[in-house]
Amino acid sequence: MIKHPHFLWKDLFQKKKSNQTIIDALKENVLFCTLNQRELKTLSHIVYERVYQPGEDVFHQGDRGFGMYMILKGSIVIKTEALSGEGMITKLHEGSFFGELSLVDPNNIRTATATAEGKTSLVGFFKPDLLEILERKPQMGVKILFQLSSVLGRRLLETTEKITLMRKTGFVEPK
Amino acid sequence: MRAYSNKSFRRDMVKLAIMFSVLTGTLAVFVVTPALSTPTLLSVVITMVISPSVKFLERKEIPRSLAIGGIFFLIFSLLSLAGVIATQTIVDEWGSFVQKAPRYFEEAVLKLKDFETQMKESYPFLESVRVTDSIVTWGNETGQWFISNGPALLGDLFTWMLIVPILSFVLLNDSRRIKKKFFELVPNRFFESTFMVTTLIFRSLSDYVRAKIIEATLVGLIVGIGLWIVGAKYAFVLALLAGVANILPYVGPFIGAAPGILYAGFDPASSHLFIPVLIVYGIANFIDMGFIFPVLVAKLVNLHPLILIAAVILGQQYYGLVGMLISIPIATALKVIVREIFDAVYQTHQSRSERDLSGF
Repeated sequence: MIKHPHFLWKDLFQKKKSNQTIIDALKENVLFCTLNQRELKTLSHIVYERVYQPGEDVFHQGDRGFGMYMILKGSIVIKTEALSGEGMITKLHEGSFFGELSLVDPNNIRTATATAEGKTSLVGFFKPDLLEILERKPQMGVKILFQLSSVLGRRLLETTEKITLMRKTGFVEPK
Repeated sequence: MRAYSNKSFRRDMVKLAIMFSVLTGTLAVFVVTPALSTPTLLSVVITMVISPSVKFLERKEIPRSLAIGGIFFLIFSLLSLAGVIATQTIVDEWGSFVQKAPRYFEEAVLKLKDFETQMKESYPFLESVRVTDSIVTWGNETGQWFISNGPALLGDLFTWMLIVPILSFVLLNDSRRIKKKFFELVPNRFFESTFMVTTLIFRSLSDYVRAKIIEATLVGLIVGIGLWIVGAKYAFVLALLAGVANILPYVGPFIGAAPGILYAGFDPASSHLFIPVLIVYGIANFIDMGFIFPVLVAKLVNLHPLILIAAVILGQQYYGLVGMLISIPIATALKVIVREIFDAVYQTHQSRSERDLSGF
């Protein structure tokens, strides 16, 4: 297929990700995509926007976790420290989120360190805020919890599949 | 990374300094300006009390501002209704009580003095103890204070009646915005821990204030109904005093019971009511200590009784009645901070998998 510029068809009106508002970002996030416009507005008043400098840690491995973060702008490197040394797990970009397990885990300890790669804007959503939503607006809270359960379920499924594969390939000894 | 660390450390320290300057500055302004701090504190207490009702209405899909407005309208309507119905009775009772209270006090002092003299004759080692003198001094000082500050207090009360509802409305409506503004000052590295500690402190304080207000209302109701049943005069005023005094930890029930017992003991027309009034206060305190306090307050505070007593004594030592009033909330807040610091510094933080592995 020949690629040539179709300027007429170019989406000139698409919002640049870098200019998107918190409401837009929340709407695009899988956890909050089922919320209506009014609920998204309420949520945008609840969440906290934080700006991190290049190399600044969002949290450390071993810290107690109280909430999740969503990347509004920039990127985050997730790494773990083990006896063998420090290792990068993944790099997350705009729209991605991390730390969501601490929203439901009563004694959550961060299992990795999250570090801003460049100047990064994050939106923080914390457990007391989720509890307040459930108290004040249960319907909205249930929507978020349902999506959160789906995300955690998906992660569990993928982890199980990977462990099964590792066992099959003999990488991990079955108990 | 090192360059970042140094730069980030400096920036965080500047942010921390700004945060502490704002906090201490605000605190200093409040401490030196009672005209500002008292209505603000009252508004915070009202906010804490009303907040669950606002949440309840929000659950019914009513917008927050409308819910707050509705609750304020209801409160003002009820207060106006109560004003029309009960004010005259309370004002009459209050006037008569205030008129007769000094006589009850003087008679009580005379009887106490006789009792003290008899005790000193029987037990000479009590010679240096001067209970009656201390009570007379306290009574005179309190009386003088009310005489000299009375008009100013009434003026303040009128100002508060205007300011407190407005401030409470603003606090209820904009508390989240204020909270967000405060957290903008917190450096990233302390953000999550500060967020959790302040949330826990605010929750414990709100729960404590609500529990104490409910406790005081129930005690006031029990005393009021009891006094009304036994046919005592000033049932409204004595119930009000018992309820308000009950907010003070430990000594509150005794302070609250004193006016009623004095009235029944020293008013010749009501001397037959002395035992029934004593029983009413006894029952109210028994219900309070046996059921209301353990169910409502003790569970929330969750501090060792010795620590609570020490906190109340310390509060009384340095700030008198106000110190006693704020001692338990401050002790509760300190407990949250100390626990968080202990967890952060001394607890070994391991993930579940690490904990499981270390168990092998």
